Amino acid sequence: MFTLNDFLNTGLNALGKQLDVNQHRAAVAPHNESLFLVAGPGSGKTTVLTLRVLKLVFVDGIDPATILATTFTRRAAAELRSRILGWGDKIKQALGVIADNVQKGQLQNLDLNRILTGTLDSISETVLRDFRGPGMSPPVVIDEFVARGLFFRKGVLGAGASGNDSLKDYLKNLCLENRVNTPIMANLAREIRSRLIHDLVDRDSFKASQTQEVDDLFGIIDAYDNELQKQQLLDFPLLEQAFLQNLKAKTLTRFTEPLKAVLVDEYQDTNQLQEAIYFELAKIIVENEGSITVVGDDDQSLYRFRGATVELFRDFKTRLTTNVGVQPTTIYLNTNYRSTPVIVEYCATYVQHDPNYIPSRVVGKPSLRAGKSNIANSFPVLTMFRPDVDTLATDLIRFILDVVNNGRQLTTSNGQMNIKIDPSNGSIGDIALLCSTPNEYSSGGNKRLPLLIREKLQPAYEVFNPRGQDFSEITTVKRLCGLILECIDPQGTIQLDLSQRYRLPSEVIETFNTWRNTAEDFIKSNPLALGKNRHSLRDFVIAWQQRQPQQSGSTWPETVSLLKLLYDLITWIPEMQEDVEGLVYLEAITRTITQSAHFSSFDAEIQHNTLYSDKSVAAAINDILMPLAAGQIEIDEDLLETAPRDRLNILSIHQAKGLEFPMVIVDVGSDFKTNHVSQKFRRYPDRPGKTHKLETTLIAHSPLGTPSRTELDRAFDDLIRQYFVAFSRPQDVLLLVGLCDPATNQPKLSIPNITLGWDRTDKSPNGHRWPIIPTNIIAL
Amino acid sequence: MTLSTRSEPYIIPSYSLTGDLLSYLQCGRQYRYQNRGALPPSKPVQLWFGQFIHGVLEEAYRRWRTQHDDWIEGNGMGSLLNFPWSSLDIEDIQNSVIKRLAAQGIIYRNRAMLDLARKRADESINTIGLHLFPLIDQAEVRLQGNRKMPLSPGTARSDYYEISGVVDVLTSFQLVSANASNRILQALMADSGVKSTLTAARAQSKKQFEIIVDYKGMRLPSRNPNNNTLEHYEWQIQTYAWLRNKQANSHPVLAGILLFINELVPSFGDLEDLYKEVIVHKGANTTLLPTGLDLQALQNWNPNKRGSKPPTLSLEYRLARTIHIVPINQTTVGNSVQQFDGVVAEIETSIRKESKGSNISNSWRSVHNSRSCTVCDFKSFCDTSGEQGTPYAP
Repeated sequence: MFTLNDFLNTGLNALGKQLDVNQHRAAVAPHNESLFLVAGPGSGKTTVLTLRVLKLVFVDGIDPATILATTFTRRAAAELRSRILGWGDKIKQALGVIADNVQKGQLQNLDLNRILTGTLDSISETVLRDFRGPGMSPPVVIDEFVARGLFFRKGVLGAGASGNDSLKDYLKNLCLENRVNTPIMANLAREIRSRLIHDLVDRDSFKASQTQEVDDLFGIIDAYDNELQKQQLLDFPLLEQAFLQNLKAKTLTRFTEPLKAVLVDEYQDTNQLQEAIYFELAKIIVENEGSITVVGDDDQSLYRFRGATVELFRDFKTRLTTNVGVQPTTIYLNTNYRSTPVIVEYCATYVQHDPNYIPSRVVGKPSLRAGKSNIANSFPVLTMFRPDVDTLATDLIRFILDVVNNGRQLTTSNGQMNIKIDPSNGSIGDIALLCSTPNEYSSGGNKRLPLLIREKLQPAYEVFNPRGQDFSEITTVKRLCGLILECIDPQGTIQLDLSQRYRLPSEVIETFNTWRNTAEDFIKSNPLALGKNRHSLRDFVIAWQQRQPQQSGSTWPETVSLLKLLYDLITWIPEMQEDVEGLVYLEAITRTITQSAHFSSFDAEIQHNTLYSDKSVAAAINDILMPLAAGQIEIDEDLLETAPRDRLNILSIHQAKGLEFPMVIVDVGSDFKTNHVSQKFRRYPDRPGKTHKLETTLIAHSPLGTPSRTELDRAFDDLIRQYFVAFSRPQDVLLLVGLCDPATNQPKLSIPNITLGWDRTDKSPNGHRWPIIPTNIIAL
Repeated sequence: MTLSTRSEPYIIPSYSLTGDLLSYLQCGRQYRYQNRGALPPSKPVQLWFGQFIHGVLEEAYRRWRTQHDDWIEGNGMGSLLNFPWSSLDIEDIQNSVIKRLAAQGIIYRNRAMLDLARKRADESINTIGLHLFPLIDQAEVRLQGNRKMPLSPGTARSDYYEISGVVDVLTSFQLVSANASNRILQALMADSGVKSTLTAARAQSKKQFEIIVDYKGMRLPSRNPNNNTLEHYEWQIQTYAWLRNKQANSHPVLAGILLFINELVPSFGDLEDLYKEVIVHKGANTTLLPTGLDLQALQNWNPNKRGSKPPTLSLEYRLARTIHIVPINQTTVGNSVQQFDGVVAEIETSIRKESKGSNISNSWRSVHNSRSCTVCDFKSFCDTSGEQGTPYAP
C-alpha cells in the first residue's frame, strides 16, 4: 500500500516512536519471513508486535481480517488490540495526508478492527462458533469451577473411586504427595487428564508403562469425559483439542484459507497441543506466502505447573523447520528500556549466576543490556535484612512511608540521594511488594510479611492484595455466607446431617460454624439499612427461618431463588453495594450459585413444603456453600480494574508478570528463619516437585519424549526464572528484603537460597556469590 | 531524585451496543452491577428468552441455508425449504438451544414461560422466517469499529473506544428479485423513505444497497416520552449501519429492520399494555394503532374483568407491529452515533470517578422507572427505586 519509507518516516513519526536496530529489524521484516523473537523484560515486545502488524497492513497491504494475534491473558490481548487500533488510526491519519487517490481509497476501505486478537482459548471458541459447519452446535465452554465440580461428582464419584485406596496410593507415588484423600485425588486426576491432552500423550503407551491402578485413573477420566460429551460441553483442554482436530480435518477452511499472518506472544508458555495448533496454522499461512512470528523469553517461563513446556520455545527454530519446513529468523530483543542500568545489571548477572542454568536457555542468547544508559545517578539496588519478620515489617513500613511522604536520604558512592515518589502524580500505588506467595498466614498459622505490612500500614494506607486472604475468611463474605446458612438451615440440622452422611471435611464444618457465629454477631449489632422505611435484618432472617412471609396476606412460595435471598441480604452489607472489592467478592459467590446448576439439582432454589425441601437446602449447602468454604473459588481480578490506585500493591510474582512499578520490593527470605526442609522448594530445592515428576512421567509418552533436563534441574530452573521475573519488574528501585543473622546483620547466607547467589552445584557453606553484583548495592 | 509514576496500560475500552450502551441507558447503576460487575439476575426471564429466540432463529436460518445451498447445487429440495416447518423440525432446534443455554447456566424458570417461548419461536420461523430467510445475504455479521473518545484528553482511559454488534445483512440483490408478496419487502415499500430507492433498484437491478436486521425478544415499545426504548433501539440500528458502512465490501445501508418477536404471539401482559396505550391513553403514544376488527377487539375487552378472554389480533396487524422499519441516512446515523458517544462519555466518567475512590452510588446514575425498578435485584439498596431498605422475605 505504502512504501516502507513512508510507513517509517510518516507513520512512526506520528507516533513519536523510535526503534533500536533489533526492534526495527523485527518490525519491518518481510511479510513472508517467519520470526523467532527472544525478548527480554522491558524490551518493547508489545511495541514490536504492534508495529509488525501495522507494517503488514500499511506496507504489505495485508487484509487485517487475515491476521491473527494471540496472547497469554485476556488483559494482554486487550492491550495488544488497543495498541494496534490506536496506533493504527494515528498512522492511517498521518499517511492519509501524503496519500494519492488510490492510496486514499485503500485507506478508506481499511478496517483494522477485523484483526483477530485474543487468548488461544477465546480464539478457538470464536472460530469454532463463527465458522462451524452446518448441523454443528456452537461450543459451550465451562470454566474451572464447573469443571472441577463435574470432575468430582461425575468423574470421581461417578466412577465409584472415592474409596479406592490403592488408587490413592498410586497417585501419591506418581505425584510425590504426602497424603491423598478424595478431594486431593480428584485434583491430581484432573491435572493428569489436562496434561494428557496438553502434552499429546499416547494414552496406550502411558498405560502400558504403569501399574494396574492406572485403569482406575482412566475410569475417572472417562466418566468425566463421557459426562461432558453427554451435556455437549467442553472444558478448556477439550476446547483446544477440538480446535486442533478441526484444523487437521480441514473443517475450518473458511477461516484458515485466507490467513496471512499469525503472531504469538508469550510463546515460552506454550504446550505441545498449542504448538500443534500453531504449526497447523503456520503450514497454511506459509502456503499463502505469509509468516508466523513468535515472541517470548525462556527466562520468564513460569507456567510449567499449568503445562507450559519451555523447550518448545527454546527449540522453536529447529521445530518450526522440521514441522513446517520454514526456517525462522532469530532476533534478540535484549535491550531493556524499563529499568535503570543498575537493575538491568543485577538481573543480567543473577540469571547467569548458576552455570547449570545456562544449558536450559536459548542457545546464543545475549545478555540483557540497559537501554536507559544515559540516566545519571540511578539508584543502587537496596537490601533490608532484619533478625525477624516483625522488625522487618516495621522498618520496611518506615521506609515506605518516608518514600511516600518526605523522601528517604541515602548515602551512596555517587553522593547523597533522596528516594521519593513524584510529588505531583506519584502515590503509594507506585510501590509493589512481590512474594512467592502473598498469603497472609503461613500453613502453621503464623503471620507472614504481607499481613504484617497490611496491619502496620493502616490507618495511613491500605494495601491491594486480592489473593492475600482466604476468601472464606473475608469479613463481608463470612457475614453473607453465614446469613445465608442461618436463613436456609436455622438449626443447623441439615448441615449436621450432611456432615455425618458425606463426611464433610472438618475444615469446612469449622468454616460453616465460624460463618454462622459471624452472622449471629452481625445480627445482634443491629446493622442499619439505608432508606426511610428500613427493615431490620433480624426480622428478615427470622421470617426466612420460619418461612413466614413478611408481606401480610401472602404465602411462602414453593421455590425461592438463592440469588434473591442473597441480593436481599446485601441490603445490610454496604461494602457489597458500594466498594469495588466488595462487589468482586459478591460476584464470586453469585458465580458459584449460577454455575452450580451444572452439577447440582434444584437449580439453586430453596423449596418449601415439598418433598424435596430439605434436599434443596442440602444441595445449596453441599454444592454452593461448601466449595466457597473449601476455598475452591477464585475471584475475578479483571473486575478490580477500577480499584483505587493509592494502595500498596502486594502480589505474587506470578501475578506481577507483565507488570512494572517504579519501586519493587522483593521478599527473598522473610519466611526462612532456618534451613528447614519444608521450605527448601521455595529457595533451594533438594527434590523435584509434583509438576516435575508428572512432567517426566507423561512427556516420555508424548512426541517430545523424555525431557533432557533432570527433574531437580527443572525445579531449580523454575525458581531462577521466578525471581528473574521479580527482579525485572522495577523501573527505578529494587529493594530485596529478608531475614538476617542477628550477629552480623547480613542476610542468612548459610541458608541455601538461589536469590542470595547460591547455585545448585556448590553446596559448601560458602557456596554463594553474594552480593550478586559487586557494587551499587546498599544495605538499609 | 523522584521515582517515575506508574503508567496506566493503554486499553481502548470495547463496548457492545446491546450489552453495554443500551443497558446503561436503561439504568446506569443496574448496568454497573449486572454488566460491569457480572452479577447475574435472580429472575433471568428476559435474558433467557432473548437468548433463546436469537439462538432458535440463528440455528433455523443455518439449517435453511444449508438445504437451500444444497438445492442450488442440484441436490434435491430439503423439507425446510417449504414453510410451514414441521413441529418436529422446530422442536429439535428449540431443544438444542435450550440445552445449550442450560449448559451456560441460563435456565428458564417456569413451564408457562417455556411454552410461550416455544410458540413464539414456532411463529417466528413460520411467519417471519418464510419471508426473511430468502432475503438474507449474510447472517450473524460481526460489526466492530472505533470512535474517538468523546472526552478531553486525560479524563478517559484512552483516546478511542471500540463499539461492536452483530446483525443479519440483506442485500439489494435478494430484494430486487424477491416476490412482491414478500412481507419484508412490502414493509420496506410501505416506508416512504425507503420506497423510492427500492423501487428504482427493482426496476434497474443495478443500485447496490443493504438492509440490516436485528431481532428483539420483546413487544414493540410505545413512543411514551417517559420511556425512550424505541428511540434507543433506533439509534442502535443506525449505529449498526455506521459500523457496517466501515466494512470493506459493504454497500450503503438504506434501512434497518427491527423485528419485535413478541408481537407475533402477544402474552396477556403484552395485550394489557396495548390496551392501556390504545384505549386508556387513547393511542397518544402508540407506535402503531389498530384499526377495524383489531380495534374493535381491543375495545370489547376489559383486562381487569375476571374471565374476560384476551382478544385475538389479526396476522396483518401483528406482522405490522413485528416488522419495524428504520430509514437510514447520513443525518440519522450521525445523530445516533453522537448519542452513543454521549453514553460512552457518561460511562467513562463514572469509571474514572470510581477509580478515584468514589463509591458506586455516587459514581453511577440511576434511572427511576416503576416497572424496571420493581423487578430490579438491587432495589433494596438503591435510593431511586422507592424500595430502599425494604426487602421482604422471601
